[in-house]
Order: sequence, then structure tokens, then C-alpha cells
Amino acid sequence: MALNFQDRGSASATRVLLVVLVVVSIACMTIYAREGADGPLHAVQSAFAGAAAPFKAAGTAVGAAGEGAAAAVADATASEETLTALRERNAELTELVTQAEEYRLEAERLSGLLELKDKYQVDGVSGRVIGRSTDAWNQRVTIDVGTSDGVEPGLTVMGPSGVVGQVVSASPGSAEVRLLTDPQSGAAAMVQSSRAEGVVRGSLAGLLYLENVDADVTLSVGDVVLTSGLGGSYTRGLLIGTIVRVDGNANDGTRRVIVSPNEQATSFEEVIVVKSAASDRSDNGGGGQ
Amino acid sequence: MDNGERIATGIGAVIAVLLQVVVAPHIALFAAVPNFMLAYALVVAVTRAQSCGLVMPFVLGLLFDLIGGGPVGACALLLVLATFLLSRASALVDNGTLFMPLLMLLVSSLAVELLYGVLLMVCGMDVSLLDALVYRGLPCALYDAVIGLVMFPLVVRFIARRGPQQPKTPTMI
Repeated sequence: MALNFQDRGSASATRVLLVVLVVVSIACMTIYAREGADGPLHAVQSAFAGAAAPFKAAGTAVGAAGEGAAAAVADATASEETLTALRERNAELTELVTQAEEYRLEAERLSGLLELKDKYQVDGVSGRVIGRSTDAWNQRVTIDVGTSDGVEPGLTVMGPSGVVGQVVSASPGSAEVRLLTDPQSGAAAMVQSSRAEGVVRGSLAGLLYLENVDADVTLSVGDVVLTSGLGGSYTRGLLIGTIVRVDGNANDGTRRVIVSPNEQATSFEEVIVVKSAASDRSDNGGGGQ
Repeated sequence: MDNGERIATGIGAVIAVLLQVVVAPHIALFAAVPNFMLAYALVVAVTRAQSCGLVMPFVLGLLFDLIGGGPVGACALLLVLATFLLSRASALVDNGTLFMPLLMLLVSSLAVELLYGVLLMVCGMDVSLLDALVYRGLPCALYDAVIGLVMFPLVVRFIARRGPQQPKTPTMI
């Protein structure tokens, strides 16, 4: 009977704990949803993201090492005949060529970034992607530049061929970038040829949709989409992508426009965080584009 | 749960967090990123149905929210509820085979992933429920269940020290 009482006591303690934890969780969610980006929970989340950045970077290194290990395992399991001096030499040369190819690709990517930087006369800081989203519901990357490099939340981030996202939080040594393909992402945009304005949104499918465009505007496949700078969330005049599909016609309220994103989350390794661009400076100088 | 099991459970939780941060982003299949913390909490709930605590899943969920980009408290809420319900269900319907725990793992991970999507929608994410189910909920739940399947024998071996409780095990309720 004593054990019975003890068990009942334990059960009611568990229920009390359950209620407390549920209430705490819901309270956190409510505060998080209502507070701004500068709120205490966002600040704690940003601090945790900064603390996790070195582990994410380690994960990136582990991922690269894993590929090397797989190659090493393949070599180790080769037949005895293949383990000749000539093949060892060949392996060394292959490694050198691979390394040289890696440097060449990196130089190519950096060159692309520099060209883009020159093209848009971007004043910014370049960084390397050191981590990816730890969950499936957010499309984010972690970069190795932070507040100590002048990176702040809200700044536009460009990949080798255009806008890829926006800084959502920053710590001294790293920053979190929400990609354009994230369902919670939205960038004020305009079609270059018609100057029609809209909003580019991400989706769970990984596609970019151009929404809120006036119904009487004709959109065609191949039209270039740029950031419009409206609302001040993204730097103006930077390339987002091109229209690759238009479902429905002008004056059709259900028209759906798909824009090809510049980069997929896994395909870029270096980025530029845009502090200002020529378009911003000309606006500030009283001119417009 | 004695001290040894408690320490082992804590070590397992730390490993799950590290796997989530270091490994999970690199083994994503298409857009499905496995949730090691969810899988671990659910496996512990299944294998330790009678003595599964709620603090560990709450802390794991909170860490998931803080390290990721979702609303703080969402995953913590779902993990607490899921482990509580799963441990009760496991104590009631487990028949000693591997099928029931795996079925419960799959169902509960699907429920958690889908409800997480619903909570994100409530918090402002503009997606349809169908998209949430097709593009994230289902693939992630399957992936989590596979991860849980791998974890299951390890948790039984190092934490539970024996398999799931047999049906009709005398309880003092």
C-alpha cells in the first residue's frame, strides 16, 4: 500500500511537471512570436547560434574528411595488384591535381564574387559558409563573419551570381543567413523589363514565387527579377534570378510565377555581405536608378 | 531510473545534440534533415516507458529551438507531450516485439514533425498544410524513424539495459 501511495505521488508529480513544462513552452512561444527581433529570446537564440557555429564548422570539416575517408577506404579495399608503386605515385598526382582543381574552383568562385562586387559597386565583407541548417524547416546557412566585421541583422547577402538571402542574427565571429528559398523569407522585388513590383517568397518545395504583381502586368519566361529595395529589407537593384515559369495569364488572379533562385543552399561556399551598393548610394545622393 | 541510467541518458542526450549540430546538416536527403534529438527522446520514451522523465525531452527540445531558427518553445512543447504520451502508450500496448515500438516511433515522429509545421504556421510561416506534410513532415518522419531504429538497440544496450517492458508487467497503479 505504501508503494501504491508512493507511485500515485510520483504520478501526480509527473503530471504537475508536465503542466509546468507545457506552460513554460507555450509562454516561450508566445513571447518569441510577439517580441521583435531584438527581444530577449531572439537574443538568446542568436547567442546559441553563435556558440554552435564552431561545431557547425567542425561538421563541415568532418563532411569533407568523410569524402576523403571514403576514397581512402576504396583504395584500401582494392586488390593487391593495384597496390603498386606506380599507382601510389598516381594517387599522389591525383591528390595534387584534385587539390589544384579545388584551388582553381575556389579562385573561380571568388573571381565571380569580385566581378559581382564590381558590377554592383558593392561595399561589403566576404565570408565563407561554415554551416547549414540543423533542422529541415529552416533554410539557413552560417557564415564566418560577424559583428566584429561589421555584419548586422538585416544586411543583404550575395552569392557568386546574385542575392541569396539576408542576415537574421549575428554574433562577433559568425552570422546566420536566412536564404531566399526559406518559406519565411520575403524580398521586395521588381521585374527589370516592366518595372513591375512584387514580392519574392521562398517555399518548402525550394522554389521562389513572385507574388503580389499587378494583374495587368505581362510577365514572360526569361524576365530578370531584381530587388526593389522597398521596405528597406534588401539592398536595391541586386539580381535575384529569372522567371522560369508563368502559370496563368495577365488579369488572372491565380497567376503563379516561379523564379529560378541564383543558388541552392548546398551549392555556394563564399558570400558577400552587402553593407551598401551603388544603387543605395545614388538614392542617398538624391538620384534614383 | 537509477543514477547510472540517469547519467547514461544524459550522455546520450549530449551525443544527440552534437550529432544534430555536427552531422545532421551533412546527411540531409533532399530537404529532409534528420532530427537526432527527437529520435533519441522518443526512443528513450519507448524503451523506458515506466521511468521516462520529462525534463530531458524539454531540454532537448529547447536546445533544438535555440540552435535552429524556429520559435523558441515549439519543439520543447512537442517533445514533452510526445514523450509523455508515448511512454504511456508504450506501457499499455507494447507486446515485447520490435514491431510495436517501431510503429509507435514512426507515428509519434510523424505527429511531432507535422505539429511542428503547424506551430510554425501559427507563428507566421506562410505554407499550406499539404506542403508541410509532403515536403517536410513525411520525409523527415521517415528519416527520424530510421535514425530511431538505429538508436533503439544502442539505447536498450546502454541505457535501458533490457528490452521494452513486457505486456501485462505488474505495475503498482
